[in-house]
Amino acid sequence: MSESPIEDYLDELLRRTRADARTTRRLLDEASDHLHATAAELHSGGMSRQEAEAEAVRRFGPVTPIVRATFRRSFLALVFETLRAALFLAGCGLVAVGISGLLALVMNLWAGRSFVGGETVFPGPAASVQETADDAVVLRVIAGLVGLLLLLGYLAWRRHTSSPPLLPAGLVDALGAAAFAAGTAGLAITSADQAAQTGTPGVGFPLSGALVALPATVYFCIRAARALLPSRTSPYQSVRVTVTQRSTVRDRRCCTRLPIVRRPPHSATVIAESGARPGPRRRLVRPRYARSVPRIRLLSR
Amino acid sequence: MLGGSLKNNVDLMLMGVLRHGPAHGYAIIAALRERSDGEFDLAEGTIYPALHRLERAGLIESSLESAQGRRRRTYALTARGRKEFTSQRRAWHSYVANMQAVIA
Repeated sequence: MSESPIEDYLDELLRRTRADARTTRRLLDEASDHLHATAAELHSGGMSRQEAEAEAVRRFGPVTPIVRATFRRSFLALVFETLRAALFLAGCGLVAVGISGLLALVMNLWAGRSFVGGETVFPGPAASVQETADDAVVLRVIAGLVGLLLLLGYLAWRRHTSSPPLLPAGLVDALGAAAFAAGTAGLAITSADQAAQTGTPGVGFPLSGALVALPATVYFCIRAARALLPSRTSPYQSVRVTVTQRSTVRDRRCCTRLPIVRRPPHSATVIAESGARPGPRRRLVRPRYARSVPRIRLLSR
Repeated sequence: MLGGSLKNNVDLMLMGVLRHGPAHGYAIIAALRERSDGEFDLAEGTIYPALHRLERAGLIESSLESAQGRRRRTYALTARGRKEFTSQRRAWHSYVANMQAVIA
């Protein structure tokens, strides 16, 4: 028999639970409390400490059904979070396409339509150049508007979600950086190839995309680095925030009173007045940093 | 839902225990065992995912309380949970009455 069956059981529960951090922590906390309470009762009834722990574990039941019951919800939450991340990345990608359309418009006005529309499959050189140059603007701007709508949808969705993040921090940003980096490289190579084959005509078509993809790559790299690299400050520094709303700290007006988290990851400490309850994190902190705040504790009532 | 296995009626039983007042997981299990005369001897660990599910559904709420130097999560029925319990209990009674009428 193991020296501490309860510890062994909790280790197994921790190893096998595939839930978000909060669910896992809470489940282990409650299981530990329950098992030790049962063991203490059995021990006081005459069992040896080890037998009491083994019996407590037996009564608690096998790990598998508990893990399964927890996983069902977490898997759904994971699916939703993945969809939300996909919405964000798709929105960013389409907005970048839209901006490249505006850049193509500037190129059309500045360098002439042949710079963007220099190569086409349509018959008749002038018409085809104009067609390609105009399409490069109009179709891309439409895509950008669709991207804006997707981003608005993403923001609205995120605003109404208070569950803790399941995807690893920095994963979505790293994916965004990789996608934009690949786009930058591909479009830059195409631009260079076009320039080598035809000179300036047609170069603007891929170049406008590359010029937008490059800063987008840098932006996503910075976001990923912020999430993945350790902060210089303590990761668990508490920031005291006074929430003055009397009845609830869920009120969005509190956000203006939270000059809090400068860099992730920090925990935020909320000091609320009598009757206040800690609300969903996203309503409390600025959305940009919301993912990085592990928890908000209610210090005083 | 009705008439299924014990597992399928855990939610109703948990709400039934909490209807008498807030309780933590250990006390809920003890109450279940005591009120069923030891008949409903669930694997104790299975009630926690069920409690979490009920809380997410807004039928119960939880709070951390300190007792004897330990912090324990205590669960209580919400107003919505009370309503849901009443409705499910009525359905259960009706099911039992119908079943008795059939097999009597």
